[in-house]
Amino acid sequence: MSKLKQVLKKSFIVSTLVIYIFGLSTIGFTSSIVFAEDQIPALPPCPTASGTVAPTGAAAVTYSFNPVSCLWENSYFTWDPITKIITAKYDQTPLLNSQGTAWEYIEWIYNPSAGSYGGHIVSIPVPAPATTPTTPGTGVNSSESTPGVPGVAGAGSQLLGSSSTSNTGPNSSNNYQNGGNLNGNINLANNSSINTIFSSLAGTGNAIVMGNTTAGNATSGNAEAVGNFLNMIQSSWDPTLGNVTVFNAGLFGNFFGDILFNPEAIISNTGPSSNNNITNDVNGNLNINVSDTSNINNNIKLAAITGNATVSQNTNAGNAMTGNATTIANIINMINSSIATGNSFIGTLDIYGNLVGDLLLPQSILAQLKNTGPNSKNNIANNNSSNVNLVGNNQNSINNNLNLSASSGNAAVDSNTNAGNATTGSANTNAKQVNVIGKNSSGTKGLAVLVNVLGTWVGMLWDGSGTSSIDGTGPNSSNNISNTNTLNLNANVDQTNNITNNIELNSQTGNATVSNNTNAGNAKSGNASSAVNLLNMIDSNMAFTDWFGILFINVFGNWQGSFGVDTSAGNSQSNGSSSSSNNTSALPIQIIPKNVAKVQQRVNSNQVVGVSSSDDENINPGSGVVLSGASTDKSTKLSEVLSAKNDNKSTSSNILTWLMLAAVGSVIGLIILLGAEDIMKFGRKLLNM
Amino acid sequence: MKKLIRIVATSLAAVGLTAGMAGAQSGTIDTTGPNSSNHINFDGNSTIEISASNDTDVDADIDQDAHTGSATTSNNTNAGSASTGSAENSFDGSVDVSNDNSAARPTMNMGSMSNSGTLKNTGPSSNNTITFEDNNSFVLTATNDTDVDVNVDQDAHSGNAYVQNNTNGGSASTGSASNSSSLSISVSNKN
Repeated sequence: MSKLKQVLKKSFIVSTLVIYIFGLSTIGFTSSIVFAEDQIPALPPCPTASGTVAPTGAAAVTYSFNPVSCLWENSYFTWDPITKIITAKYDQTPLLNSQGTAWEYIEWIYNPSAGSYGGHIVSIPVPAPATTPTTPGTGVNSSESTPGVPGVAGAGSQLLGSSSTSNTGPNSSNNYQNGGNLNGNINLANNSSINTIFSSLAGTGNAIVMGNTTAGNATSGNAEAVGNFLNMIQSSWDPTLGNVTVFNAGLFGNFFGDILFNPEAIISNTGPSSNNNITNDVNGNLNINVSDTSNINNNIKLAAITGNATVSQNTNAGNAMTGNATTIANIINMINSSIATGNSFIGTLDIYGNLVGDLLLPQSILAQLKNTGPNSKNNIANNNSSNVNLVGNNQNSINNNLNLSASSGNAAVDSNTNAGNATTGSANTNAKQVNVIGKNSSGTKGLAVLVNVLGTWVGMLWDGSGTSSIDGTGPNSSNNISNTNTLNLNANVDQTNNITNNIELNSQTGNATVSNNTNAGNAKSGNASSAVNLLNMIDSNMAFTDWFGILFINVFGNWQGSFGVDTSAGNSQSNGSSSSSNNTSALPIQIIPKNVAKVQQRVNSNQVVGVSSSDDENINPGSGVVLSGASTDKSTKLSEVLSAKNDNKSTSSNILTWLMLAAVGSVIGLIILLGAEDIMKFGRKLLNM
Repeated sequence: MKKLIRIVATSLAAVGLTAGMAGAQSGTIDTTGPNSSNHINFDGNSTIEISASNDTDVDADIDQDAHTGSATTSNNTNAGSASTGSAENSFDGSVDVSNDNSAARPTMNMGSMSNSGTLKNTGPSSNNTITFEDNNSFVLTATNDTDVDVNVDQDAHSGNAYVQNNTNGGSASTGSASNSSSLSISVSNKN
């Protein structure tokens, strides 16, 4: 306590001196000091030590007790009478020497002979590099735990807990624990449903010529009901890579000779291909539940009924003829599918008559269609993944319920004095469907051909590969799933795709009756035909960098010839030579010249050129060709299509409108898909149907 | 009769969580004395729940009727033909539904927790600990429900044509009847 008072008195003297020097505020301050001296609180007592209460040994003489810290202290160390521990008062932090070979600090040691402390350098060699990069330079004898379980992270992320432990002293215990949990649950659901109810009835009235002295014919008009449907769920027909060109061409009359179809006369300025990739880099506990349910239900009823034609009770009268009744439904359903191409075209070749000859493609096109690229682009790559549990449950169903009927009316010539023949029209129904599931086609060029032949077809489809039919790859094709640095990934993908088509088509022509006349003509009922062309695509993708085209071929009569195969059909008997498909043409449709009787060229806005023909009922060499979009209603619609295309760039609309054009007159359906390298497969399969 | 419809429905969920759960904390302990006990602890907890749903229902009913009247030529001495006109229905429709919940998706850098801790120049015999503990959870529920119902009813009839009881009459011909329909429906959902 005496020492403490001495210290306080010294403070008082110094304070007074300072106050004297600085003048004004000195009095009060001095007073405060005096007050402080008088009121200074007593120091709390130091805890009572037991046992040895003072340092021992030679250096003990250097220690003195500090009542403030309650420690024995000298210039270098303190000694705690409670814990008996000596603690250095100087900095013992090792510092790396200039050579980088050792950690060094100064340690003060008492020299009894000198009666004072002397400094000694303590050197700790730098240890070998630590095995853990994040802890360089840890001291010797360190115990260090390796980093803990890396933190889990969400999709596409990493938990980047970085730690740096360096220059720690010897005997340290360094622990780095990077722990974390990121639990992600992603529940995605898409429920899509398309329901279409379509009812179409086209009927023509009765035509009656009755009770006249002299009269003309009784003719009922044609009835036609056409529906074109394109339903897409999670699907696309990407037009952005190029243009969609629409053309329509028709061959009127009977035709003898080959026809060269050159798609590249339609397509130009091909666009780039598209690649769609989805990459998931997933780390952590990530549960992905995807539930996709897609339903397409089509309920389609088409009916075309022509009226009766009656010529009765006349003295002199003409014929009784009922019109044709036609129902056509073209349906494309796409779920999780895509068509990506450069330019594309959708065209129709209608042959209103009989055809003896082949429909050929240029050899250059055939070669390119054959030499297409690989079949699919499906990549599921799991890199550095520890636990990946991918459960895919795909349920695809396609139900097509088709009910087609076609009936031609009765033709009766009865109770006349003089009359003609009674002839009933033909009645035909045909439905062809192609269901494609998990199909991927890629390449530079692709062609899909839909062939409808009303009458008899003697010929074949182009088939080159000799391999079997559609062997689809797995669902979700063209999707790249990449899991990198994954710890736990549970993905449950439930995909249910249903397509149901309930299609009912009815074509019926009216009765033709010539009765009770003195003089009358023939009774002829019209033709009735119903056709459905149905294409269902699920989890399929078509990608063509150059062009992709769809060609409808509708033959309203008989066809003796082949598609894509140059046979003797249509060759001139005089020379017997095969028509050459090596020919190229600037026109999409070109007749391989035999003897063209009548030629009339027209060019419409779609750059489709054709030649009109005679309406000769007989097959004559040189009966002519067609034209597209002439000055008929079709051309009007065509211009509307083009206008719509320019206005809103609506692909589906263009396609559909195009399909409408394509459907006009198409009757019996035979559908093939000729896509790049698959063109052969489809052809062979269809030939075996 | 010609009808043209265009239905475009677009839904975009914008419950964006652009910040995600990214966290970044740092701590440094430098130059400590011997026998030190040095600790850097990071504790983080976060929970995110996101729900986004698009419910789209498109109903379209189209009813088209085209009828032409009857044509009658009767009881004349000299008469011409009786012809009825054509009846035609044309429908061109498209439905384009696009639902997008992707904006509600958290930025998937949830785990980019760039925590950093630095211990250096600690004294000998120290007990140094760096602990990162990030517990994060997220639940994303995104649902797209789309229902497109299109009902098209087309009826085209041409009338009857009569040539009756004339001394000299022409032909009786009825017009054509045609229905054409083009319908495009596209549903695109994105989560």
